[in-house]
Amino acid sequence: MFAVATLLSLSFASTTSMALEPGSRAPTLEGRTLEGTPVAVRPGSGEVLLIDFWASWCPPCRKGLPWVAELQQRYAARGLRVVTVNVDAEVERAQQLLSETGVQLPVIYDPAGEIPRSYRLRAMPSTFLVDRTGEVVEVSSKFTPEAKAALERTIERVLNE
Amino acid sequence: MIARLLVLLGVLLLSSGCSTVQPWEKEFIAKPTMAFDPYPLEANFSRHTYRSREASGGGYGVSAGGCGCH
Repeated sequence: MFAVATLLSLSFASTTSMALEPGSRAPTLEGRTLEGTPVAVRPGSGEVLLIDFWASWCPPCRKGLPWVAELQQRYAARGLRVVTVNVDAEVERAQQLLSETGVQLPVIYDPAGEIPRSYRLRAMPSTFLVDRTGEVVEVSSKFTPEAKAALERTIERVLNE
Repeated sequence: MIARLLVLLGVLLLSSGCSTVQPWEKEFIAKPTMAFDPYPLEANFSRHTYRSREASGGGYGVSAGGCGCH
């Protein structure tokens, strides 16, 4: 009876997993830009990385993109590299959103979801901060004023390390 | 008997239609037409009619965000 119950529960079990926790190694981001150029970003190569996952159909992502672009402008000189990953099914939607908002960010286009799968993404939007050694420092899934302030404090700290 | 049970379990395992939609795969679920009430005004009008007819109201959900704190 126990075996039956176990098998039944397994058959309905979901495959949910936790997002990469702080302290984990950040996987390499490999893919193509919106224009189709191959690109590879290897965490741990001396830069602090801010990786933002977004899609045009995700309202909080749309709201947060200008702030991510602002972070890039503010901290680029101090060693922050911003990389965004777009998961739209059609590349035109991502391009349209960027042209509508006027946001200029490096984008890896990943409609198959290989990068979010490797980062075990739990929600959209999600932002990962990775330190110079390639270790995940913070994972954020919202763009509330408090969350933004907290992430900015962590960016300051990691850049000063 | 055991063989039948195993076959039954196999069928149950294979016929499970549950799958997890990953966060980055929700593009089509996020469309407005996928909402329970894609036309809020029309839904409100229907509820108003229902309330008037039944002389009762409520039970259509809550105004909070699902945290259970209200």
